[in-house]
Amino acid sequence: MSFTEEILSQFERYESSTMSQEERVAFEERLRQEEDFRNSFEDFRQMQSGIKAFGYQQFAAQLQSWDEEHDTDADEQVRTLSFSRWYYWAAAVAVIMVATISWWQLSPGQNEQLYTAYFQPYPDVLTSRGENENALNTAMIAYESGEYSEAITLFRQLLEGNGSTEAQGNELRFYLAQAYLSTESYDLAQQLLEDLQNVDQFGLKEASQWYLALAYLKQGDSDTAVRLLQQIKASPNHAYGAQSLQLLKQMN
Amino acid sequence: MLINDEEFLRWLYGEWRNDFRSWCEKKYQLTASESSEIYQDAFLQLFMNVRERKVSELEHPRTYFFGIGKNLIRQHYKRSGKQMEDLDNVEIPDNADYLTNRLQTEQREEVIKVLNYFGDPCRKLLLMFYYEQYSHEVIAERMGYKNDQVVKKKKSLCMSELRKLWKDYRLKNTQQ
Repeated sequence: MSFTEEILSQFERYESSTMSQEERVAFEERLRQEEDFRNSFEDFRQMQSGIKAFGYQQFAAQLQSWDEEHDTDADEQVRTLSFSRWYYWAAAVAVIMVATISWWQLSPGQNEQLYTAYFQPYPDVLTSRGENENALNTAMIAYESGEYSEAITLFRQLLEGNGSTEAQGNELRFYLAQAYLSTESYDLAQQLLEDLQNVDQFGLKEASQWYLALAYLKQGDSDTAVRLLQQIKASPNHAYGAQSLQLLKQMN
Repeated sequence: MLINDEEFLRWLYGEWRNDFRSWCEKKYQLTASESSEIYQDAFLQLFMNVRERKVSELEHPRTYFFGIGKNLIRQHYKRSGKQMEDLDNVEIPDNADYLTNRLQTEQREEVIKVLNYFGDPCRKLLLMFYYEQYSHEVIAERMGYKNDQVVKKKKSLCMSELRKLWKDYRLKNTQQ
């Protein structure tokens, strides 16, 4: 059973207890009688829970970033109050920075491990929309089945064919970047993602920022990776806020 | 709706922070890091209780908030096997089940994973409706849709798309 407007409205009203007594009885009877209806309702409940939990996760990440801001403000106040305290903090920060830089320089394998732990090619959200243009479909099948070299050829053909709108072009470039990351062509992926992360009104803009940070991490440029991850973390409701926070913690 | 006002929440978070943390440290001998962690958890729980309508109007929000904190400190002590007087249970709706049992299901985690890869405007629309609990009319205005009917139609398409991605994800994981 599909999530039509009517079905969704029924599920939402049942969940929010805004149905009349008569409606609720009929709804519950239908749940008992129709397996398809029951399964759809269960899917709806899980999805609704997942969406809420996703929102709460983002809020928790935001609290963490507010805490860090407050701590920074407090440190700045302390520095202005006392030179000796300022000296202490500066020395402490310097020690931490040196230790951190040395750690990054001394453990290149750590970056690779973190990249491997976090990198997962972005799933196909283009052809699942039902827009099954043949060439695009073939390219996405190659991509989804892990045939990245073939997918790269097909994405490039699609982009060179001039048959796509600007929005579709950006989506194709995003998946091309994913395929480049999967074939370890990090420079090429970075070039594409650098542009895509600045495209306004682009649905995969936040994902582009995240993958760009991962690409820098893999290339050993920890400074740039950290800067990008901090930008993501500081953006309200960023899709990758929680992951960025977690990754930053693991890098430190 | 203050619960969705980021500036207000940020201000409130800063407003109670120092008092709460020094209360934890002085009265319950918690470390700075433990106090900080409990403050975050308490604020998240307050936010959830308001959003999930487990509490409607708060006459004394600060007292209520410190009550949540006290419950969390009690749980913290229980976990670490310590005993502490003056930590009787405060009657406050607890969202622990929401965070752990009821929602901490495999399926919910799968939906969260899929949402990480779910682009806008669908994700934004679904979050605005199911998490931030805005009406269809407000969403239409804020996201630039013609009217609430268009939002309902778009929401139905987005839920169908999310469901398909989720099922595909489950299928792939089952096969692996």
